[in-house]
Amino acid sequence: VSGDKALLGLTGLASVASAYAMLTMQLQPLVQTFQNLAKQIFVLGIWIGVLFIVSGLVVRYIPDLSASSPKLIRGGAYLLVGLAVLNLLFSAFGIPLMGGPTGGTVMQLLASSVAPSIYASQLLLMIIVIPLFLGVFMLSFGPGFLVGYFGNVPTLHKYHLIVLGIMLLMCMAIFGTALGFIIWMLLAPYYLLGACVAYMVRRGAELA
Amino acid sequence: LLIGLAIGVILLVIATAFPSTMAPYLALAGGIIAGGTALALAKRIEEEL
Repeated sequence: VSGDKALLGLTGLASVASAYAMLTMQLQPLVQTFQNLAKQIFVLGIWIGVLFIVSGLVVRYIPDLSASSPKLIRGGAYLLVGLAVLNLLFSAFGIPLMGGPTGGTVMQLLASSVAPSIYASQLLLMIIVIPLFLGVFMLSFGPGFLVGYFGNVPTLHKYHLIVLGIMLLMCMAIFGTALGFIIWMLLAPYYLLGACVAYMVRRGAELA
Repeated sequence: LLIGLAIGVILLVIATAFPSTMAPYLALAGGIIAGGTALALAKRIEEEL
């Protein structure tokens, strides 16, 4: 009886193993897609962490919201450290979420979406994407600075939320939902940086 | 502290923008530097508030 049970167990194990092998062969493209998606989410997570820290530094100067500044910064810091450690653990098991030969990055995603070969995408990265990046830096830093400098202080955070919301909608309308969101995530920190510099200038002027 | 935070973020940007075998280590260094300085900043802001 025990021999029968062992045989039954081995047969069951073998069928599970063969089913798994078949499934992974069938689902290989799907697994690859999910892995790439996980990489994109991971990179987005890093940017969300940075965005949290920058937002925390900005809201420090907004009277209604200054108390939430340390919470935002701490949240961003824990997110960054957590993701970095997680990435190292994953890469130790051969699945680097950030970096690695197939590591999809936001800038490469932008370049490879329009360029056919790796050399062309590198060239495109240098010729188009970097100036574009610098251009959007000015386009998002500028509005942040203007709203921060000329806005009415008690209701300023509402203006920022409205402008950031409009930016998100515009990005999604121009680049599509997913890529638009990624690009907005790149723009938003520069907007907040502009607002932060404006507050510093404003505060400096008030103190003087 | 802001300079430390900037260095950490730059390391993270390098790790995300230029994939290599060093990227996970760069990301770890960037994450710890940026995270550590951010925590110190949060503590300082809390004291100021």
